[in-house]
Amino acid sequence: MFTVHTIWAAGIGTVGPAPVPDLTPTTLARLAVLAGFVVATVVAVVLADRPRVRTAYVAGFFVCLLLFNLVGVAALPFMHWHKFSGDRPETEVLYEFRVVDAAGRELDYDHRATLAVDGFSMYLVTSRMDEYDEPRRAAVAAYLLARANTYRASIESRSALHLLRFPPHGVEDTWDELELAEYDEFVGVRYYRLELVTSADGTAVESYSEELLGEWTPDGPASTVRSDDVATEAVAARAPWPDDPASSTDHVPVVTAPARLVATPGVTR
Amino acid sequence: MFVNYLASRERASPVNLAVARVLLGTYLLWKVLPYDPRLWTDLPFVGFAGYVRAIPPAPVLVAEKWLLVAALVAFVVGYRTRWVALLASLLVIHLATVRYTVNTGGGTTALFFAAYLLVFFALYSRLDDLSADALRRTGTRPIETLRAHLKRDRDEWDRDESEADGASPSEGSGDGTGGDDGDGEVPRSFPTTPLLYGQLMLAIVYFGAGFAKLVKGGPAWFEPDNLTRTILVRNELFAMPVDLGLWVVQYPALVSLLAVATVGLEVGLLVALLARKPVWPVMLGIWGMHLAILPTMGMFFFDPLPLFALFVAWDRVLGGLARRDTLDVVFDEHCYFCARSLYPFAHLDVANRVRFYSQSDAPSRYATRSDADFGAAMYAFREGDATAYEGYDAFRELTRQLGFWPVWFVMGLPVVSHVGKPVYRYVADNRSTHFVCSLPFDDEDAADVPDAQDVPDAVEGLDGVGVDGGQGPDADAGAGSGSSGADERSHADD
Repeated sequence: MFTVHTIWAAGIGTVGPAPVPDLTPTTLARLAVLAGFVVATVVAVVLADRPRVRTAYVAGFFVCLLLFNLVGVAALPFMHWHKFSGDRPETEVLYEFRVVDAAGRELDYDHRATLAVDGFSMYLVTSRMDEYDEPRRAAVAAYLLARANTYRASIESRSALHLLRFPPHGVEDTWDELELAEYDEFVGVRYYRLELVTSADGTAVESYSEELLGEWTPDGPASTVRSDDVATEAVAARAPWPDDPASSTDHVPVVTAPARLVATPGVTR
Repeated sequence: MFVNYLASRERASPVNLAVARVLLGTYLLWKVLPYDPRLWTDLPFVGFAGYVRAIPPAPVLVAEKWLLVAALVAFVVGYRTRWVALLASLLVIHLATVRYTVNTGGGTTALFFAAYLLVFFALYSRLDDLSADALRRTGTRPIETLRAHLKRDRDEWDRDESEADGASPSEGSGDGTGGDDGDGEVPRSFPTTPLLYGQLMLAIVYFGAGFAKLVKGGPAWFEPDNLTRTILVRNELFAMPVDLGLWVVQYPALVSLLAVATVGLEVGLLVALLARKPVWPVMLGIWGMHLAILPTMGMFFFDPLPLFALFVAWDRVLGGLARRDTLDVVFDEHCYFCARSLYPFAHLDVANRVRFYSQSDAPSRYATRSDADFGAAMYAFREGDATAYEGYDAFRELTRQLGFWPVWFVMGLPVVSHVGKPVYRYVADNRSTHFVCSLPFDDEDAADVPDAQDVPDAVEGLDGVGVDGGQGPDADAGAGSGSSGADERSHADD
C-alpha cells in the first residue's frame, strides 16, 4: 500500500520536475512588460513628490491598461476581464479528471484539492496531458491523487469551527464530509473526454458522451486503457491552447466542480 | 451610494480615502493569508508557461507572503503608507503572477487590480489625512493649528454630495497636489485622487469586457442562442444552487435582454464616469450582475464586491450613523498631545455633531462646574444629560456620537473599562513625561478660565501665548514642541 507521500514521491521521482519551455519572443515580451512595470512603479513612487513624474506615470499606466483591455491580451500585470466574449459553439469538448475509490466508484475531481484555496484552473493540466509521455502523465495523476487524499483528510478531520475561518474566495460546489463518506479510499485517477452537443437555439442538450482516455493507480500505468487511436482523436478535437489564458473560458471550459452528469457512486459510466 | 470621483474629486472629509485604504488592505489580507505558496511550485506539470520563469523557490514565496502580510497590516493603519503600499503592490503582483501560472480565474486576476490601487495609494499617500501617518504629521503643526482644526466651523459639510457630485472639475486639482504638506493649515477639502484613478481603472477593465463582446462576439453575441447555450452548458455540467438558469433559458427575449444589459453595464461605467453622471446605478447593476451569475451559471467570486465597496460614499454612511444630538467636548487647550489625539475624531465628525471647546472658550455652564477639572482630563457633555463624562468615558461618548456603536459597546464592558480607565488616567497624568505636552498655565490660570463668549478679547490674548508664541513661560515649551515637530516631520518624510 502506498502512502500519499510515496505516491507523490514515486511520481515526481520517476520523471523529475516539469521541464520549463524554451524562451520564446512572446515570453520575453511578457517578462519585459512585467519588469518594465516594476521599474517604472518604483521610480514613480520614489519620485512621487515631483508632480510631473506622477502625472507621466499615471498617464502611461492608463494608456497601457486601455490598450491591453481593448486588444484583449493579458501581459501581466496588465489584466483584462474578457470573459465569455466569443460566440459559444454548439459542440463543447471538455476534459476532466475523476478520482476512483477502492470499489471502483468515481468522483469528479475537486480542483480545490490542489491549492487549498481555490484550485488549479484544471484546463492548465488537461491541456498538457497530450503533450506529455506516459511517465509524466502518471506523475501528474499521482500528484492529483496525493492532493486529493490530503484534501479529503483535511475535510474529514475538520471541526465545525472551520466555518469561522476565512470565508472562501468564491462560491463553489466542493466535496464535503457527507459526500466523501460514500467513498472508500481513493486509489486512482481517471481522465475523461466529454462532448456536449446543444441544439441550434441553445435550449437543449442533443447529445452527451464521454470517453475514458486514461487511468492511473499507484501501481503505475499498468491499467491505462488509453489507446493511440483515442489519443489521436483527443488531440484533434482539442481546442487550441490559448495564447491568453485570461480569456480561456471562451475556448476551454474550466472543469472545476462536480458535474451533474456524474453517475451516483457505484455506477461507472 | 457610489461616488463619481471624476465629478467629485475632493471631499469635505478624508473619511472615504481612509475607509478605502482599510477595505483594500483587509481585502488583500483575506485573499493572501489562506494561501499556501508551497503548493504553487515543484509541480509535475507546467501551467501557464508564459511566467514560469517568475517562480522562485517555495521558501522565497513563503517569505514574500508573510512580508506582504506585514506590509498590508501597516497599510491598513496607514503607517508609512507610501513605502508599505509600494512594497505591498510589488509583492501582490509577484504572488499573483506566480499564482497565475496555475490559476487564471477571476480570483487571481483581481489581485492585479488591487495592486494598481496600492500603487495609487503609494503615489498620493500625502492625501490620506486619517491615518497613522497623518497622526504623526500632526507633530509638525503648531498647537494653534490643531486647536483651530478642532474648533473650526464645519459648515462646509453642508456642501453635500449633490453639489459635490456636480462640482466643477476646477474645484480640485485632479493631480492630488492639494494635499496636506504637513506643516500648513489643516485642509478644508480633501482630494481623493487614488480613488479617482482606482475607479477609472475598474471602469476601463469593465469597458474592455464589454468592448470584447461587441467586437469578438459581434451581433451574434446578443442572439438568444449564445447566452442561452452558455447558461445551459454550465447548468448541465456543474452543480447549481438553484435551477434558475434552466428557467431563464426558456425565455429567449429575456436572455437577449440580459445580454444587452450585461454589455450596457460594462460599457456604461466608463461612460457615466467620464460624463460625470451618477455612477451608482451602473455600479449597483454590475454588482447585481455578478450576484445573478451565481444562480444562473454557478460562478461567483467575491472580489468585485470589496473592490467596488471602495467607492461607496462612506462619509455619508458615517454621517448617517452619527447621533442626531450634539456632544460638547472640552479639552486642555495647552496640551499638545490632547489636541493631536482628538485630531482624527474631528475628521470623523462628518455630520458636525461634535463641538470642541477648550477651557478658554468653554461655555460657562461647563467652565463653572465643580465636578470638572479641565486641566486634568478631557470632558464630554451631552445635551439634556447632566453627566460630566470624564477621560475614558468622554472618549467612549465620542465613539458613540460618531456612530461607532460597536466600539462604544466594547468600551463599556466591565473588563475593558477596568483596564481602559487606569490606562487613560496614567496617560493623562504622565502626558508631559511621555509625550509632547506644554502646559503654559499655572494652576491659578487654569482655575480661572474666562468664558470665551463673554470675554472674546481675553481668548485672543490667551491664544497669542501659544507654544509657538515664544512669550513668557511658554517660550521653552514652545521651543521644545517645535523641535519635536521638526523631528517628526523628518520621519514623516522618510
